[in-house]
Amino acid sequence: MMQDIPDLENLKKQDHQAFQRLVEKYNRQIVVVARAIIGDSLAEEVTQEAWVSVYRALPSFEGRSSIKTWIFTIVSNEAKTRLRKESRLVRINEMEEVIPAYLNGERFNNDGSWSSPPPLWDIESPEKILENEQLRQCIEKTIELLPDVQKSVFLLRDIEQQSLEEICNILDISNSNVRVLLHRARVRLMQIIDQYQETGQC
Amino acid sequence: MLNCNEVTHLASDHLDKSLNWKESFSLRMHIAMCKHCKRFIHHLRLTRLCVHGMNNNLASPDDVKHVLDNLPDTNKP
Repeated sequence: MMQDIPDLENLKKQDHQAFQRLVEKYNRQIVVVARAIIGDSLAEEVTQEAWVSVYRALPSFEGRSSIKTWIFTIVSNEAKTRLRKESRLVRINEMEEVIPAYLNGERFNNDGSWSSPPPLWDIESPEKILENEQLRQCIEKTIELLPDVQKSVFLLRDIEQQSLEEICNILDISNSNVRVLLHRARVRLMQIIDQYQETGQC
Repeated sequence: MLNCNEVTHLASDHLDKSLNWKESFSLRMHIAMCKHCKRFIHHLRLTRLCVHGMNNNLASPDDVKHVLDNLPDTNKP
């Protein structure tokens, strides 16, 4: 079910209900973005600070970007400022996480041809896949368990439809890293769907 | 000419239209002839469509209350 488009007119007036709906709609995503930049322990605190900033700045929101891009930028700035203050924190290098089997070479012969090609899917439409409650839960759980930065890239791109350039700015990582992390996340989900279609579980 | 392993690595860039002309052309040539890679890209596209269709999870009422309760008093709606 599609959510309503944020009610800009009332948001700019700092209307309570409009603001509450905005928090309902974006709080999860904001925590994910904060966590990707500053780590788990401070993510909630930064999220709270970001919402205060959003609330204060709403009357001056000019609509030069979409409101969600604007909110993601605010939380990103809060998290980056905090990161500079907390010099003991080092950003985790997630390029070293486990690589999905499709991408680590194990499904290919030495000449680069498939040794273990993708299996056929019985359930072949997005609607049918999502109607399958068990499979839907598998997908949600897999997204939940993605490493922090990868999850954030994936969520911003494939769920929130932000551009690659916006994602680079929000998370302060290079275009090539964004693309690598995004691809790994998508392929990991695809493997879960493969597994479900082959075995009936995941 | 790209091999299957290379196509797999370029598949997301293909979906996001981030490939240059030459890469894009090589990839299209490859999938026109290779049913496995064609399937791989088809499934990756379906995966992406699925998660886009999941864009309806709201924050829990407790989390929302926490945010609203913690606005500074002067800012409280």
